[in-house]
Amino acid sequence: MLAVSFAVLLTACGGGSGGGGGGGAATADAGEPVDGGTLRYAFNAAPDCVDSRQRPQLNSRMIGRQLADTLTEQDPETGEILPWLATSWEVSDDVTRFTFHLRDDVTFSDGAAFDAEAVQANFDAIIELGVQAPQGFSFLAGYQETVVEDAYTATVVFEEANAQFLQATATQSLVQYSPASLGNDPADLCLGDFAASGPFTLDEFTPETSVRLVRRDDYAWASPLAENQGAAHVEAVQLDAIPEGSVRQGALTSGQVDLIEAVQPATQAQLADTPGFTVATSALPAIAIPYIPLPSSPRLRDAETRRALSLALDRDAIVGAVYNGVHATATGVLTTANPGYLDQSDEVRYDPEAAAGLLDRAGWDTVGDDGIRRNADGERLSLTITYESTDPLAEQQHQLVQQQWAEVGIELGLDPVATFPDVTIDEYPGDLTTWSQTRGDVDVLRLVYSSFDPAYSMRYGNPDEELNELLNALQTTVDPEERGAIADQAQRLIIERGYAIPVYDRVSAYGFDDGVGGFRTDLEAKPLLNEVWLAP
Amino acid sequence: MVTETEVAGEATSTSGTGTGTGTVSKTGAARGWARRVGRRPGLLLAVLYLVLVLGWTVAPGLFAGQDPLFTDPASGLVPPGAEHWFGTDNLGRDIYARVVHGTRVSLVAGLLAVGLALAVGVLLGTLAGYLGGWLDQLLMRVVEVLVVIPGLLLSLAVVSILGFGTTNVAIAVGIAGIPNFARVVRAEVLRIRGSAYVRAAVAGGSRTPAILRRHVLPNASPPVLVLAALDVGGAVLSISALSFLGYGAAPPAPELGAMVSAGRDYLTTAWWVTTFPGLAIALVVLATSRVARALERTGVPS
Repeated sequence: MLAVSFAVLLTACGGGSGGGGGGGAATADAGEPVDGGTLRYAFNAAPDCVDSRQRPQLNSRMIGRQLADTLTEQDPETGEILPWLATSWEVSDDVTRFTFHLRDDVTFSDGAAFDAEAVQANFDAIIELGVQAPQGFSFLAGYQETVVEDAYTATVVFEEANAQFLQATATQSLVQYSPASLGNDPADLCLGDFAASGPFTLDEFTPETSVRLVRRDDYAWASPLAENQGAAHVEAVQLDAIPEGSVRQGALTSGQVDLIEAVQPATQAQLADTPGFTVATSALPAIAIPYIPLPSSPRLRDAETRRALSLALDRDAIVGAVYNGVHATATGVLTTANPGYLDQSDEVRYDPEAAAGLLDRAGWDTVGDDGIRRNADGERLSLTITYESTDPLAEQQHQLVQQQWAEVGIELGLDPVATFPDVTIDEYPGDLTTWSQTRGDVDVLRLVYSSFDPAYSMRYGNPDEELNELLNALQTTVDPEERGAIADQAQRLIIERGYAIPVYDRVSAYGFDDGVGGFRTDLEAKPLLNEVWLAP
Repeated sequence: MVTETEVAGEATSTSGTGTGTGTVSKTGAARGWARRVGRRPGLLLAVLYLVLVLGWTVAPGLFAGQDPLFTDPASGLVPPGAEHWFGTDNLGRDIYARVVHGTRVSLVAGLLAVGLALAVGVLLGTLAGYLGGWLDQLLMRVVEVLVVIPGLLLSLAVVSILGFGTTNVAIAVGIAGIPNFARVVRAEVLRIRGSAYVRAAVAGGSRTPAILRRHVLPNASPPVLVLAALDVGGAVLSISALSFLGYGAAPPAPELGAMVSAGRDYLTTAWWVTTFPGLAIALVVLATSRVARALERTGVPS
């Protein structure tokens, strides 16, 4: 009797808190896992390629996580690197040699054994793929060779220090495939023509439409995050794309699917309040979604102007009106979930008066009849953002920002295009752009705010040497405290010089019905489908 | 429910003008037309609604006091009520004001599209029908190729070449409408070309442009004008479809299709965000089709 009322009390508390991640875990622990059944999963956008080495997109990485394993795993709470296929490792003092001691009981789905030679072949294959494996290739910058010490010990050698490499081995950009598959044509690999050691194998794949995964019965080396160390609970997973948010949610509530990703902010509260359904949310480790002033913009050459844009931004209003309070207001360059996050809410704040003061000082001191500021040459402070008109929420955000900036005399023009021109970053059209990048390491700062990579680095072609130096130091510094201090300094510099105008911290949301148990996500909020079970 | 009373309430004030023009006109056709309208309440409603929409188009500020662009996140997703007749969207913009301005944009674009299709179609059809020979063969084969491609698909292709914007969308929809007009005009011209009075004019020494202007075009025009009236509804629908897909005016400019698109995530939580712009599209299309069908039966009042 006592137990029953206690359970009721717990449920009531869970409901009152609005159905967060805790609610999902509670559902999972309530019953005993059951084996069997087919999990029906609805994608927001299905991947065009299931080789997660070739695609940095989260949907490819999500499938990659189910098909293949990585040397290490990252703790979603602490960001700590945990052993997985590698049981332990040593890093040389100069951060150029990483020695991995491997599990000896792992096999690929084609029967081949996972060993040091497989690790060697995998890293060599990434170098072979080059820019076709964009992230893995950049993580392996300075790669020299992998030395096979013995059957289950491999040492990866770099020409120069590579401090982010250990975390990189936990990402789906550096998954381990069977050596026999590595020589396959990249296009065929994309279609799933490979064998790996994951809890599932690929049964069917129609690019951008559907994926069918079947369980591997002899799987016994699950990630340390998983409670289920054996074969997956469900026999198969059928994943179908349902791009329209309201239709996806309707498919869930009408019982056509069991689990959906990307619950829309507009209807998330409604789903959480629907009896029999749970919404599990988790903050993504990433850069806070920013507006990034393009270095090529003539009107945004001045740091004070760029900082004024940030001060004139009412983030709470944006998060409330556009994202229904589902995402979190940005408080720094990185999201709060990112290891190495620095709280910069003193700088990243809404203060239109301070913004006006900065604009006056920057020379935009005359306000015209149209309410838009002008400088001494009579030039109007008119900015343009070019964007793909595929995301209605981003478009609404731009519209709200347009009005917020207009209040301090900045004009923002919206320029929607069907497809963004295929140019390097220094040739981007307009004055501003938005960006997103997930990574469970402060190295994400180097990827986005340096000038090294023509496709990922926002200051490509317009280097800030001081910032580059700091970001390079992230690559060579091992001592966590020292590295953290450098990352803090870099984050301060990025805000001080107005290189980023953070807007919000992205939160991912999954919805599922009460028949789904054991739902759990990793650091990048990708589900661990081998943990999921279906109530009979 | 609210729409019905709203529309009716607005319409009564303007209905005087509608019947006024009917009685002032002395021609028999117009009087017959007015009688017909009076006998058919559906047609009457359609005409009244179009008069109202015309009012929105000419003077939107008179009908909607609030700024369609003004955002106020604090009063987002307010349900329909006294202050906001159609409610507000999630950015707190007044949906009634946006529907009024959006209908205006869509209707003007629709008229522009039909005007373009009509002008080019009449030109091609007249040349092909009257001059005949190899020119007829060439023009009609080109037109037939265009007919093979579904209209909306053709518009999509054209607008992706021209780029985004309401005018470009209108041009794209207009181009897709050309073949219909060209074919109807050609058929009419072929019929008229063989008639006795045209042959008499030719025999009398009139020059071709004069014959076309004075004898052929006036007699070919009634079916073409009915087709044009029918096409306005279709054009508004196509323009809204393209705007729904994001090819229309750059935000925050209100456009009915874009409003439906932006509100679709709120279908289950705030029905008014998509319902009112959707109703506005449906009503414009239904009303123009209803009036066009009446014109088809009775002939165009002149």
